[in-house]
Amino acid sequence: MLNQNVRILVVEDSRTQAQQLRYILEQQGYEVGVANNGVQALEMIPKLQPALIISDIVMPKMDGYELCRRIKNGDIAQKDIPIILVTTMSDPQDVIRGLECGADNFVLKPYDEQYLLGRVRYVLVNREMRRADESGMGVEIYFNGQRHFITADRLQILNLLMSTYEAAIQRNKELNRSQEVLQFLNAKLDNANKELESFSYSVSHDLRAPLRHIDGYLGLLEKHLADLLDEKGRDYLKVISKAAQNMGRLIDDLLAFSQMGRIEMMQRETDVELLIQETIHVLQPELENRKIHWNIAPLPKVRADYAMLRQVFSNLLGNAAKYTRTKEVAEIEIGVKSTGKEDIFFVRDNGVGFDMQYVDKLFGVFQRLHRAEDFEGTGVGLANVRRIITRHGGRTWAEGKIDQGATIYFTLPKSGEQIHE
Amino acid sequence: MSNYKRILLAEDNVHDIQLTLTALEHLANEVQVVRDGAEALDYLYRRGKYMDRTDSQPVVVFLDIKMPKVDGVEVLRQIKADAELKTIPVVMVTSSREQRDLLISYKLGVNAYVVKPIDFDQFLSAIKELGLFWCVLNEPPPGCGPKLEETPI
Repeated sequence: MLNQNVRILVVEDSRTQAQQLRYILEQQGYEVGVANNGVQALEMIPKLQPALIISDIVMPKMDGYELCRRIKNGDIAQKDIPIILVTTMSDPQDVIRGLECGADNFVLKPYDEQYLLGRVRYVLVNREMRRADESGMGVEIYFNGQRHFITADRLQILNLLMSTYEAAIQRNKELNRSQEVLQFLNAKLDNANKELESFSYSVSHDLRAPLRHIDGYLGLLEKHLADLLDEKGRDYLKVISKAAQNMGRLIDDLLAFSQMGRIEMMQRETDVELLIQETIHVLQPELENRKIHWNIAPLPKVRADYAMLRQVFSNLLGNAAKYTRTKEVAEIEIGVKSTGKEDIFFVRDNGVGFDMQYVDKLFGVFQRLHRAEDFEGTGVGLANVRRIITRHGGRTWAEGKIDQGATIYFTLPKSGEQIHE
Repeated sequence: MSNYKRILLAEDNVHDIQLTLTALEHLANEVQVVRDGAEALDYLYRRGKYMDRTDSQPVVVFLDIKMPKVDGVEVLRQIKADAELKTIPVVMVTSSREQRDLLISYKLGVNAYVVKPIDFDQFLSAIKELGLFWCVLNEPPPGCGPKLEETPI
């Protein structure tokens, strides 16, 4: 094979990366030795007699710069072995340090196979040429306000700088490519959003109409048959009518849920206590003949979209009232715990609760933990709560126990905190 | 025959037409049905098959939004942009409560916006009330309503 008898020493503390490098190089016929750090590398060099060293920079015990410096300073006999340092190009000081320790070349990490092999070939070919140019005198340079003294010869310096430049271009190409990919994905996302919008638009127009017709013609049929219908017949018609209406509700809730993710937020200072009074007032007609003990702690003002937060409390208080229906006296507690970063609100009830095993389902769309005939609902309420709170940069979670009530928590970042969409 | 205040109903769906007419049957009003936006405009502009129409303009137009050819929003736009027609009250009567339909309709100057309920009883009472309000309670603008063609110019 072409590169037989050309030995390369790989110095790398990460086992997987060392293996990857070894594989790439051995595929080309090179003989490869691996050292885990600088100290081990220095021990291996006299016996292995490598034609080239490829070394990582950050390693325990002895890093790549130090290893390079030791070799180039003649600590061992083979001071002319070319050294390629592996860099992530994250620190401009890399170049200066590379020059100072006399490194011959840089390659980029993560490795681009073809690029890496190109570097290796180049360095191996040029190693002969280098020997002819030993006349270098020291060069003094200033970088970042510091003085550095470079003793490497001219060809070595040129090579290192060229390889750095090449690495920068390579990185730049990669960045451009990923930017193109990002732009493409963005356009796709935009498109998908538009499609979703027109989808929900036609759902709201076209799916409701047939339901209206079903219920309408049921009404007409009932009138038309009048005396011909017995009790059972009327019952059947009622079930069909209820099913149509229920589907209408599902469609409406689903559309509202999808809209909640899209409509623009208008955040302003919001008085939570006022909001809760308002919410309870709206719920009141449904709560006639109910004994509910509301226990409401003093609550702070928060920064939020008023209409959205009202929806949150309307869902949470509505749920608390609904699921305590079987209790003689319902206890509903609303409280808050404030930390430096956020307000943690909770709504606690003594209702039928739920099994913590299914807590993950609680916030999903159309997910219900109760039968519709026990507790009515479409299963969108808590999904809406989560979506609204997430849009405000907060979190939601729940605790509960069967027959021992449920507590729903949500957080809102403190005023002045950055809002993440 | 044109003694009554007339409703122009623009609706493409036969079922919706039948249900709406059922709801309006107790009103002694004439309901002129057109099947899409283009026909609605032809009717109002007295052109095409309505070229020979001599009776007055309707006291109210009930517009469905999603119709073939020309949709309800476009009909509304043309009515409200026309110096002669823009006084005619227009009510959107539609399946959807989509934000953008609401917004554009009000921006164009719609006089009311009603979402047809799925529940038939609610549907009946909604349409009845609409008819009652626009044909009985509301005073139409001059030029709409009964027998205007007989008034000397």
